[in-house]
Amino acid sequence: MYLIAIVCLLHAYGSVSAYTNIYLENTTLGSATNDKGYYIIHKIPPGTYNIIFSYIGYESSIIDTIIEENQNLTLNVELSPSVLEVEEVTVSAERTRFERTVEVSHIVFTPREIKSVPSLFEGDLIKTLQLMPGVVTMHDLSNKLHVRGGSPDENLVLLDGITVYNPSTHLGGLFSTFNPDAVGYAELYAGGFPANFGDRLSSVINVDTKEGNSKKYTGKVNVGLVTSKFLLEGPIPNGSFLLGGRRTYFDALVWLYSKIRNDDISLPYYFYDLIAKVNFNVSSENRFTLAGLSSTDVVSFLENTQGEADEQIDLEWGNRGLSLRWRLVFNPKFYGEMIGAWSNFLTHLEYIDYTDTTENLNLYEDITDYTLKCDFNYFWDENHTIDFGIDGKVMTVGYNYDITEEVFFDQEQKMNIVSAYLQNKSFLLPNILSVKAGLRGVYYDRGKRFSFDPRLGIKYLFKPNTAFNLAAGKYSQFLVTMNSQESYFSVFDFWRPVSETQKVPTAYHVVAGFEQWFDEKTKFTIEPYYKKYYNLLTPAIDEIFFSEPTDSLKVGDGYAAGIDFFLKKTMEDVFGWISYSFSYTKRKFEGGYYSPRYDRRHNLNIVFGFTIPHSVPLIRNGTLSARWYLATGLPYAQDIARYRYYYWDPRFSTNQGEWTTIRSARDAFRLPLSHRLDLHIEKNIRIFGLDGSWYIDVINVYNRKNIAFYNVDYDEDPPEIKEYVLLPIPIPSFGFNLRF
Amino acid sequence: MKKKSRIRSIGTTLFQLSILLLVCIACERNYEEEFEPQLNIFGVLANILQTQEIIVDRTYPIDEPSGPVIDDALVVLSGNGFIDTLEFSYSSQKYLTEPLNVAPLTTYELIVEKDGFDTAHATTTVPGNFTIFFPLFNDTLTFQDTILFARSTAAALYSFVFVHYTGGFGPFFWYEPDPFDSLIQIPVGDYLDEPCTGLFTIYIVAYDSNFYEYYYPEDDSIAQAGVTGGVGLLGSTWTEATSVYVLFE
Repeated sequence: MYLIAIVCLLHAYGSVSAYTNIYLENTTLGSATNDKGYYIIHKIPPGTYNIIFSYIGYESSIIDTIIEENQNLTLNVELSPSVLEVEEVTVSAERTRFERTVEVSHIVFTPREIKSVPSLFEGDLIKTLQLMPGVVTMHDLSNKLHVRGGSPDENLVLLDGITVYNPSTHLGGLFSTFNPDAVGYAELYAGGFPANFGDRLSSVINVDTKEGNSKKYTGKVNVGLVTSKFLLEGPIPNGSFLLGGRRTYFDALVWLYSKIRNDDISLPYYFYDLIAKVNFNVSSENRFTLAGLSSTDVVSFLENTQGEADEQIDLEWGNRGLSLRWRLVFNPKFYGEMIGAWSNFLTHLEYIDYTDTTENLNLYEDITDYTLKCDFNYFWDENHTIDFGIDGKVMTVGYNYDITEEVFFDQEQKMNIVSAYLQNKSFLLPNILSVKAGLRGVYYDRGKRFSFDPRLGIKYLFKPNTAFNLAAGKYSQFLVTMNSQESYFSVFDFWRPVSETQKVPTAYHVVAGFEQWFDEKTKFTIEPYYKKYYNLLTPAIDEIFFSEPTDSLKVGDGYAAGIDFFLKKTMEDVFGWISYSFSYTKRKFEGGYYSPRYDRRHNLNIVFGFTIPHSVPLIRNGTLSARWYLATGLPYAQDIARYRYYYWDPRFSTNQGEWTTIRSARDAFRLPLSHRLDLHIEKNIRIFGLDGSWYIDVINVYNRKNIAFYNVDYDEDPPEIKEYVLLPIPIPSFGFNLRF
Repeated sequence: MKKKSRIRSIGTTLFQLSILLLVCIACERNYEEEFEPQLNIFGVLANILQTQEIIVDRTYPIDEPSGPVIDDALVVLSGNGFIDTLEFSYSSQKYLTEPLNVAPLTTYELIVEKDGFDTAHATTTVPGNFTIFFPLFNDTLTFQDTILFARSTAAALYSFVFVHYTGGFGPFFWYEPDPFDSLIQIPVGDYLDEPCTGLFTIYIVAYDSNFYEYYYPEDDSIAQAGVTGGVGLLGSTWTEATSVYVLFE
């Protein structure tokens, strides 16, 4: 007999729960859900049982049931957050994951961690990811992720199964696409990821929005300094829904200010996000989830002269997507999940000169993909699981550039990728030695190429609290960005398929891991890694806007090596982590190896948060969290000398010298050490009978002037080297939440 | 008791690791590329000049104020039996040779010495002389015509300069030859489109490969065309001329 359960967490952290503990009271039977929230117990003798579902931070659910001979029992269970600390729940999901999975470089985030990490204006998933070991960011305001020597386009970013092509688009990268209130589950694979993920060289960021509350209607409103957000959840027949939105309103405030002061000032920029999710349980074995995302930035500027329109600029860019997921229990041993998804990233610039239409400009760039993905899990027995699946993508990249109706280029490139994988997880020695071996086969229709990417993971639990891990694999990527991934600032990513004549960019990962649990809530990991790249593609110059096909890209190799340390403690009233990475990244495109701009040698992050004791006035029972980082400088190139460049003009036979510069090697210099302290205080309150909270963030508390880059001013003699600091002062921000 | 001891041991290990980490971070070198100033040479030897001119300048570290060209260097030009120590001319701010008619396909060497700098060496091979087949003296040249001449040996680039008989400059363009052409053919209409008539002398100037490298570098690297131990250019040209009546209508 089998017991099948799909567990769903409710309310604040609502998402399908990975690694929820389930056991039959007064027996030795029990286990934990897998990463899809699915779980099975074999061979339960007939009888009456109390089945207990527990997850740290949630009220345990106890179901009293009678199990009969040859009966298959399926339970869908939802857990609600606990009001008080549940001391008896001592086994956290992470701890369960440690015992049950063969995964290295895998970190899961709770919404609490995302929202509690101090951040400029509001908590942000990408900002939280930047604090993880192996992740490097290029400056204080960057929202790009460089994972273990990889460039940002080597990260696979998924939101409810939708590929997000440009997750860091808002306000020059200050905000990511992910509305933090709507995030239910987020995980990062920093390397060595298993065969069910592919199409990227470095990492996987997999995000699921909350499931929506199926018991009652709830909502949350957040008003911040720059944005306001709302989130609504509630039941529908046989399911639940979630609807969230966010918009900046600086433009409206500036408009209001200009009206009051009768000034002619405006801020022609805003962004908004909409996210929606509907869950529908057709039966206990069939569950459908429809999720959608629309995230858009708009710059709209109209210049008037004496009441007449002079010129107009409209720039719009954003991610949007839709996915339909069907979770299906075929039989007690066979579970499947099918996703159909559409994803699009669009950039459109239109310039209209009403006085001289020959100057009109129209630029258009978009990437669209349609994905059909099926994942299946077959539970052979307690020690043996087989996963397999197929993934088909149809993609179109279009780009158009015309001035006054003269088309400079108008191209549409199509690509199809079909992938299939098979992986087998076995406990060779039960609860001691487990192996996860997989193979991912990929067919790429441009050039009709096949790639076979083997993956291997081994975990050796040589003590109950100590394990050694090993992961290795080959990774291929068929889509690259045309703009330089070494740019300090970039808002847009322009994706292109690898052309028929180019070799497919490939990476090989080897990750060794040591994991130690000091108690049930504190873990420490050490992970040395080595990553070798082949056939990388990069633009010939640093900055490319709307550009040409990938044939103009330079081909190169590279490698990254390093060691990551991670100490994390998660309790109800205290949480935090220390991550330290030592990394060494090199790339080679024509000439010798060099350090790319994101080659940060040392990177230390300390995050600590706790519940403020009752004895502290005003903010008693609030939360205080702090983040401090220390990082060595990034490499950069600089003008190191100048000389007069003389010209020979055969008409005049005279020579004139113009100053020209001698630039250093691209990695000849390194920026100085940077460090910074950020604080976040949040206090729960009640307003008008509703629960709420206010929060204050202070970024750069002790006013550290971290240098982001240098520039040389040639108007002076000698030229003056100027320092540029992105956070010149401590920056406070605040807001409040209201829940109903 | 055992637990306390274990916690203390962990604490000690973490403290030691922290110290090690801080030492590692402190030892991280924010290295800078040392830049040694070099001599900056510029000279283009030309058969149409009686006196050859060399500019001797220097490079400046980015934080150093600029100065005038160098007037006290030892500058020696030699080749084809000719050797001369050049004198600095304060009026032109250049080093000038004795009268020198450069010879075609001859290699000239320049040595520049200045205290505090590495000695710069430079060489150039003068392009070969060549014959113009069309237009010849007193021919009429129109947009429909093709300028025809034999390739200059060792030439990497040509320029065409039209000089009006009154001394004014007319049309001008550059031409990069195909490496395998022995006969150069220039359809005039492909390069010129401005109406122009009158008596002109066409100067066809052949440039050596150093000159080409200096003006069309393959990458952003420092200009060191024919120069070692410094930057700049030592190039050479060979010029042939013909006088024609231009009828560009």
